[in-house]
Amino acid sequence: MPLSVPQQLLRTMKLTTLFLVALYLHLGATGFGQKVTISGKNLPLEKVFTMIKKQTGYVFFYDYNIFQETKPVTLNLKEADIEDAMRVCLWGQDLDFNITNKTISVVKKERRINLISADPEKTIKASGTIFNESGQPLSAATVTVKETKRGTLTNVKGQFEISAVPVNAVLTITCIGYASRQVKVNSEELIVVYLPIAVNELDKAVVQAYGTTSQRLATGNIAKVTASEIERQPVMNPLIALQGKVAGLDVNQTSGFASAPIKVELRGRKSIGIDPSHTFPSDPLYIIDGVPLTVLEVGGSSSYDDGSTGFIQNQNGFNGPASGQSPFFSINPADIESIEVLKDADATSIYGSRGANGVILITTKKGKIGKTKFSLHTQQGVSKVSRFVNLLNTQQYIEMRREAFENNGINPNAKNAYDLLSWDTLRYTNWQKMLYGKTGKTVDLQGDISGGDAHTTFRVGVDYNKTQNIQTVSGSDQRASISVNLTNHSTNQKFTISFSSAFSFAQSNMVYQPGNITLAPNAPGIYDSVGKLNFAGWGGSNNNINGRKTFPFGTLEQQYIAKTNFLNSSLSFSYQPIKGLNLTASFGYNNAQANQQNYIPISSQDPIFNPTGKLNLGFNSNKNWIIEPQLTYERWLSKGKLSILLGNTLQYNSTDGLYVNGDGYTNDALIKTITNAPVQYNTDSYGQYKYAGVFSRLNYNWSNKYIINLSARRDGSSKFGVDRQFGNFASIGAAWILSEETWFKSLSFITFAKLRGSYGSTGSDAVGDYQYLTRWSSSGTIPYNGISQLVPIQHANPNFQWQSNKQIEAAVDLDFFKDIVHLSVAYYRNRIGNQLISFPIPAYTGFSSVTANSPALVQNEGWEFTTRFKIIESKNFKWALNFNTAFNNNKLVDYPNFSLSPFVGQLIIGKPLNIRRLLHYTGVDSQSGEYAFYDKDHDGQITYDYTGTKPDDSYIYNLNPKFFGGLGTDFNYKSLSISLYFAFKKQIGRNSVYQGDIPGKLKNQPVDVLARWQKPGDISSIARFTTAAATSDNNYKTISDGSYTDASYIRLSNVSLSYTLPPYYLNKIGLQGLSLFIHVNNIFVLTKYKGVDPETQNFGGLPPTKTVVGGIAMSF
Amino acid sequence: MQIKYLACALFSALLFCTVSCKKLVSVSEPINSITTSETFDNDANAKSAVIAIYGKMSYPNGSLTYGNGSISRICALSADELSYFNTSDDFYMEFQDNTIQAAYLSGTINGQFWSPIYFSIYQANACIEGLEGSKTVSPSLKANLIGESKFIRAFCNFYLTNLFGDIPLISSTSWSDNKSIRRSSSSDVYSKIILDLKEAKNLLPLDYSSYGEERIRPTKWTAAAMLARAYLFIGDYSNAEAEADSVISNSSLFSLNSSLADVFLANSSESIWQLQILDQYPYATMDGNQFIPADTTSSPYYYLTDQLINDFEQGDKRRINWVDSTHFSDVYYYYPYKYKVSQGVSGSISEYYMVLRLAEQFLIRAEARASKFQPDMPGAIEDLNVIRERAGLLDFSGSVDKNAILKAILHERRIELFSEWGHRWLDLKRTGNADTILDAMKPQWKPSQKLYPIPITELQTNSLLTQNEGY
Repeated sequence: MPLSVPQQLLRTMKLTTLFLVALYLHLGATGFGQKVTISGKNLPLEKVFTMIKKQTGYVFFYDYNIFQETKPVTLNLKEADIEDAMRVCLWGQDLDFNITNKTISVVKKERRINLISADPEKTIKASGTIFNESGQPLSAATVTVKETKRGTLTNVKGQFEISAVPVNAVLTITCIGYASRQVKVNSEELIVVYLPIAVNELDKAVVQAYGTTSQRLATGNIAKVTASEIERQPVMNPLIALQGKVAGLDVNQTSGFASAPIKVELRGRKSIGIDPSHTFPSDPLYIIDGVPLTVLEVGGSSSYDDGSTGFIQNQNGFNGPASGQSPFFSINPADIESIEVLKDADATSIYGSRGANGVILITTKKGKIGKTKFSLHTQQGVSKVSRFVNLLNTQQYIEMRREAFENNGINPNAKNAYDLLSWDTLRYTNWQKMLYGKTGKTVDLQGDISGGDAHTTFRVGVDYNKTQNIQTVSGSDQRASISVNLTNHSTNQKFTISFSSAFSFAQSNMVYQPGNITLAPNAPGIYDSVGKLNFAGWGGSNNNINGRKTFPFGTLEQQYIAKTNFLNSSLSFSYQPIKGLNLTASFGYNNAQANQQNYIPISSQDPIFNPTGKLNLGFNSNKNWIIEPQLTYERWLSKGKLSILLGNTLQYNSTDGLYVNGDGYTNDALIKTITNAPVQYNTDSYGQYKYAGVFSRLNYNWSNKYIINLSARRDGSSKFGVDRQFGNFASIGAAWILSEETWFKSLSFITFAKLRGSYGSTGSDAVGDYQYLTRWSSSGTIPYNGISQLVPIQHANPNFQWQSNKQIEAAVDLDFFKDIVHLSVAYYRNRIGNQLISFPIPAYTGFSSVTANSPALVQNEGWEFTTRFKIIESKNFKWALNFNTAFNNNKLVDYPNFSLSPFVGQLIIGKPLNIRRLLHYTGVDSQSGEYAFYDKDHDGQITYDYTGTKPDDSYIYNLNPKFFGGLGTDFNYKSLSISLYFAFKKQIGRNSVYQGDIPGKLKNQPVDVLARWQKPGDISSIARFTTAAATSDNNYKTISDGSYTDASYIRLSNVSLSYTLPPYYLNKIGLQGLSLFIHVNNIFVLTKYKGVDPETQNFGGLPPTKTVVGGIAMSF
Repeated sequence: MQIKYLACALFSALLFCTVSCKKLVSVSEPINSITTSETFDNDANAKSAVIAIYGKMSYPNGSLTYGNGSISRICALSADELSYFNTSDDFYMEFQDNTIQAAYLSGTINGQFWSPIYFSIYQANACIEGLEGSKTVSPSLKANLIGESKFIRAFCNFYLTNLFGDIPLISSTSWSDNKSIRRSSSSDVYSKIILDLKEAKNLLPLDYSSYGEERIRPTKWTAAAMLARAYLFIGDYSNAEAEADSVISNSSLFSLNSSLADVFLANSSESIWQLQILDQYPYATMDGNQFIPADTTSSPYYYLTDQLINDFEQGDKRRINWVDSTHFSDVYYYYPYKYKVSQGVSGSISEYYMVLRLAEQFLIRAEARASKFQPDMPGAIEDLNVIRERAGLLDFSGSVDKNAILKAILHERRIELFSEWGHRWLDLKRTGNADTILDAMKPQWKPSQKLYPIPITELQTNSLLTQNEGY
């Protein structure tokens, strides 16, 4: 029997109200408690909205047409919650609302279209549309019927339709990155559901290879670092912000300059190459918005220990004071939305031959739907050295030197003791303060505009950042950047185009800082009385050439400037011709141009040598382009969602460097241009890299309970000789979400439990280019007998192949008390075989290494723990804790014919790669005052060599960290928030006392040496002072366990304090947001380590600095 | 919908055109280098490959190696010729005191001797292999270039075996073949040296005309001179005499410079082989650059031992011409002054680095004549006197007794060839005098120090290699 129209309407309203209440209940839990006070009669709705906006700072989002049919309202609200206020306003109106992130969207209620069957036994057809809160339709959202397990996916317009749904069945709607919803269906009317963006960690979107997933659904190991964590760190290089944040990821800055290369290593050392110069950098594959940031190593000075020299790739070692330049110095950390670190085979094997060292995905910020928003962010700060070593003062130093001469029975003379005889013995300079005592300043200005509607979103960000360093002659690092992101969906939502591009200009002004803090404290000044470099003062009274102490400060007037332009762009088109099928074509391009200049004027060199000026120029360029057509198909199959990805990659890279040297300038005024150089010398380097692959992934998610993920890739790389270029890689990952099982539901305190595991292979082609070719070059030579030279430059090896990495991982993810406690534990075992290294071979063959596969099998096995704990979660006060730590156990598992290998003296099968064979230090001989070592083989002498055949040096020390990680805690009280971040590491390292020279020589020493041995019978840990140390002291001291010590530490690495102005005040000043903040880096270190810093363990180098910045961020 | 089909078609085209095929991953060859087959494809490139051996010896990008002076200086420290001024420099002091420890000096020995010498051998082997396999290099040039390469290989092996004793004998560029071989005995090495030199002698040109009259590449005579030395060292005196004789009798090419000041000039008439000093800072020989102090009151880097200075006879012109002094802190230090230029001027380089010269050939012939099975004492004395006369000294007047003559020749070698190419160090060792002479002079002398240690990295990378005794 047909119902009359008014009745239909009435029913609709009832149902919608029911539905809304369900929605409201949820919103109540997450919404903000802003108070609204409005009273008045027959107020137009539009006016009420304006009042609410003024009072709360909330923004309204609606189509003006909605007001056509609204009734004025009469209100009497006092301090009402915003949700309540909205509910009252819209009571009886044909409108619906929704609050997210201070945005209230108001839309029309959907009209009922179909009639409802009166018979509850009959099944009905459920249909509807799924939107996100911005009103954008969500495609590929899953709609399942709880009772029948049947399901479907939404189309591009967010629409779905399921037939044969029992009346009163519950529909579960899920979509990656959004909170899930359950809706009861008892009519065939159109269902409209708005999914809010997930706020619980489990369901937040996580970027994965060629797509997105969530922690709930991921089968692989993906760690995410968000924009808010990056923003807190006052650093110019976003990679540094990853320090301590991701379990198992070791990030180290290789020098104190902001532009310095960063060494990144995931899950332990993979390469057997023991000599750092024989091992290639351990960098993971970096991908920015889909574009790999590949830099070839054509400059020839990258190494395992110091990482890649990055954008500086000219030959001749002209790498600047920072020994290279990190590519990420050109990237504005504030442009980054998230950084995902892909760790296991499941997550990385789709990158095939490039994934063995892990993959780091960088995703930039995109515009969001809503009113156009302007944000400004400015911060300023200072940095200073946090810790100095306590060194001898002049009086103590002179005492040490005189005692040393006395001990050796040597008379000090002008030749061996100019510090005592020629230099002023009363003068005192604290060289540490002199060299590193300056206060560095940093300035950072950020601005962005973003916004958009359902079709187009945009974001434009600009940035200027300048960091001055703390050295004697202060240089600075600067960067200015602009980034643009645009996304457009066609009206029918089938066609999407997105474009992102960032351009930056970076400039580093530096000097090669003479890093020697152990200069004699009475050494003459850097400058003479007229402010010129003090060459004469350092020469001593007789001022002769060869006896002259080298003046260490000439470099202070040798300016180094590096200017870098960097462009990274990506463009992708995607089209959905039929439901579930997506065709995407991505194009990416990046280009870096780094130009270096280094002036060595005559004035910076000792005039007695009649020097001439020099000019060094470096031109480096790096280009990448990539094309990746992809096809994805998603559909509902049986009781689950099937996703298929097919695609291929074509990548091209070229890296080149040109080094130009001008020499023989006789006038400093001419030095700025190469044209004036009487002698010129050039070398260039060039490398090309091509990479092509086909990849596929198949993912099946059965009722959000069982998930299986298969990926495979075949790819080829130009780094290998013909016939060795192609390789196949594959992985399998699976997850079982136990908490979805009915038997599990009794454990109600565990809200989520997942077991996952993966196994697969990845490869590494991280070697130099053209290693398979015989090569002859004229580079760096001049003609002999009038004939130009051709010099062989490498051993060729046409036979080397991929390094293969077989990874297995098992993990459990648990969530207790609804997002209050989260715990992930992962166990992994990576076995790296067919090691691709620069294989050490005897130098008598012509070269001391050849690129080859080593038969070594290296294993990294470990545990990673990541946990989050929301200790207090109340309206005004929140306290959360997060913690991660990783234990990695590295060992050489196998090496066929090990006794004939070049590693036999340095490595031991079954032990870690990073071991040292050391003598055992037994203290200072109380009779002679010399260092003494244990004579293990009792042959009356201490013997050692590096071949491992001598028994005295057989004490094995493992220098790998036992564990490391980070602990962060965040407090929020109303508008105030404080966060602290601690980083810790348990390890053995080299101590400072035994690292420098032997006390007594012409070098300053830590004050600890005053406790030295002085006469027979003295018991001391410090040897006698001596100027002519016994060779045994020189040699044995550094290779004994006496020079190793506990270098574990806990560092409060970051404290960040911010205050956000409440909306009430914001309204008064007409702003949407305003916050004030202070960030402090490297506050203190708890350690037993004696020396400047247990992390760098570098005696005499640039100590770590403490940085304090304060700033203001506003948006309107 | 037309757009739909168009998009699909475009996409599929894109997807399938990039499906892996070899072309997609083949890159063009590097722009800054060429392959071996290209190198030995034509005359010009082949010449460049051989020339680079000398280029690398003469100017190894600023480092000190065997080709530019490390043998001259370090072997002189090891022997009784030179002292190092800066006594706190442990590296040089270990050579001077003969207290070398493998672990401490391995890097220096590797960097200054071992690796660069073996690199020259690699270049020579690569050239020999490349030339022998080439069908396009003209035959006469090919012969000459192979001769040059073999000469270099012999020259390098000579120094290797004299410095290190038994050595890995390398005759190919194949790293996989060579990486795990054992040391060959010194006598096997000498056999190879002599074989190479004999072949070189047959292949090399008869004069310097093809080198633009520059004596900076080996000729037949250079190979003969080296052969004379090798025969002398293994005690094959008649062959040593014959080879030295062939060089000495070629008076149209070689004659002793009457003025001692001219001996070390570029292309002096006495020179049999010199290394060209390239137009690179310091535009002078490294010996000149390192031995000559900045001025007459500056301290030297190296100075001559009292023993050597005292060994000069009264009135020896070499004492005046080839030795100079500096007065620093009230002490006179004497230094080698064979090379007069410490820092030259670009474009006008006057001295080349002398490797083989005629005076040595006279002394080789003298020694060979006195030592051979049927000694020729008058001939030996005649040769000795040629050298003495040029130095302004009276003829040899000692007894015509074999030992006395050999002693006089050895003394003359010490004075004539001091600070040149390790002659004294090698002489002390081959004549068996090292232990007595050096033990008396150096308190820490140990007989095992006569051989330098094999670099440790070599032992690490090839466990079949053994270390020299005492290290």
